[in-house]
Amino acid sequence: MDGVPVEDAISPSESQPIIRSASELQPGDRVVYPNQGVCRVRGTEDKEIAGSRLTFLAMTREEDNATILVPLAKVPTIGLRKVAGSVEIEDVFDLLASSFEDPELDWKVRHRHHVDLLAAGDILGVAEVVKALQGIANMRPLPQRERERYDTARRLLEDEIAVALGIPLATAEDLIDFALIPPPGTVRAPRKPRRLAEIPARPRPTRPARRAPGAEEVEFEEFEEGLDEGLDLEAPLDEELGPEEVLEPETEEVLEPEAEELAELEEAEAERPAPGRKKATRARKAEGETQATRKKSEAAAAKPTKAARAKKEGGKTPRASRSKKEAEES
Amino acid sequence: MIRVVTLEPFLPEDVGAVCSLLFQTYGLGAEPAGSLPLPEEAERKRPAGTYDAKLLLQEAESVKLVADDKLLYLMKSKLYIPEGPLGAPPIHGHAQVGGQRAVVTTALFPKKLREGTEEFRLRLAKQAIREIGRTWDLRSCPEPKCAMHPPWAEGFETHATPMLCNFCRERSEERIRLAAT
Repeated sequence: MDGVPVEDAISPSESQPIIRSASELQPGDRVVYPNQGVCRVRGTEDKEIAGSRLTFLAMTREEDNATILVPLAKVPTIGLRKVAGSVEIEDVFDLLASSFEDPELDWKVRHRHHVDLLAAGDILGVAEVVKALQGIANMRPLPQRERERYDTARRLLEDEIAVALGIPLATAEDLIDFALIPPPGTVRAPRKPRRLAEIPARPRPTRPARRAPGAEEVEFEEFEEGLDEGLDLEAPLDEELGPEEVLEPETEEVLEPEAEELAELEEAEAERPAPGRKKATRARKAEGETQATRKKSEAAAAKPTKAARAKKEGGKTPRASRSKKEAEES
Repeated sequence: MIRVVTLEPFLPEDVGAVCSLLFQTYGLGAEPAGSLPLPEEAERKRPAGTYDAKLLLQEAESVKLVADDKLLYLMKSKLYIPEGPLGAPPIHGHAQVGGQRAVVTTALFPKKLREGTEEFRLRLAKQAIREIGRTWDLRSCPEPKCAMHPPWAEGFETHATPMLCNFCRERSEERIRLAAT
């Protein structure tokens, strides 16, 4: 492909809207396919793929006459657009001739940004990639990957500019070089493009729902309604737990020993002489120990509570002291 | 094979040196193929004495070529290309990208370069390598040492040795291999 006839150049009034439907295209139209370049529409073709009959939009890439087939249903989603008009081309040259900005130093961020810009397919995005990589190349040689991306972006840009302005490819290349690397001594007014390329948001990967094949979908609203109706939310929890791990109400376990403790403590308070307190405590402890060993042998599975432990040792648990105070007050 | 044709008088030694350097760079035979007249159809009245680069390549007479041959014209007159949004760049040559023909002019060479000198030959050869590279679909290179760098840039003059960078050399070898098959 070496240039295009001048009469094929895009008129200034035309812009570059995204093509939303294949019906907008006619055979012979020129379109830009992101990451592929300028293509010429051939028409539609029917093909049988894996047993199903599909209709494709057939295009020819102008760079190498390769054939591109796009299913008609996918045409609105691939970012196909018309060739840039003169307004966009001016913006491109303003961007190329603007001063070099500080390059992004993190190569991963730079790589992702450039890939996104090229995939979006906007001519300003492609120019932005060329400009950014040229800025890096002015400081140090480009790594292989970025050199390839620079080459790809240059090709896409040159092809579209050549088609848009109706000039040979070599001339388009010279014009881009002239904007990017002006001859020594050239003085230009500071330029800035009117707009920059927009990157469409990346689609977030959706996690497949883990659901049994026959399971019905439960709406969130229905679930909320269930809450209102007073569903027993603990039931499924109990079902999930093993028979030995079923939670028992804490009150039964704790309050009974506490009541016993209270009575004992009241008796002890009443009978206790001040100097013989230690002896009484020791005796109670010895009794408690024998009781505890018996209890242990009887109910090995039963879990000793804090209160029971305290009772065995004859010491005061915080709860016991609290209950004692309460008893005194009452 | 690269055939070098002069459209205006050049010293045979200079043409021979260009052929030799083209051979060294691309690994393909390069030989002088005589002289031909400048095509009148490509001459422009404004500015006088300039030639439309695109028309010149279309209208200039040719020597016998076979498939995959490249034809390089050497001339001294100025070339013209249409202006872009930022004006017209200084044109040192033109080529049919992916095609067969290319042209190089010495009109914008620095005045200190005189015919018959080593510097002149190196500069002419470097320019020829760039234009022939475009016929193999090589594009402009950001590496200042590479012959595919824009000829008006400072790096092009600073690095006088006509050579391609690794990337452009690999690309050219690939294209030449594909063309040969």
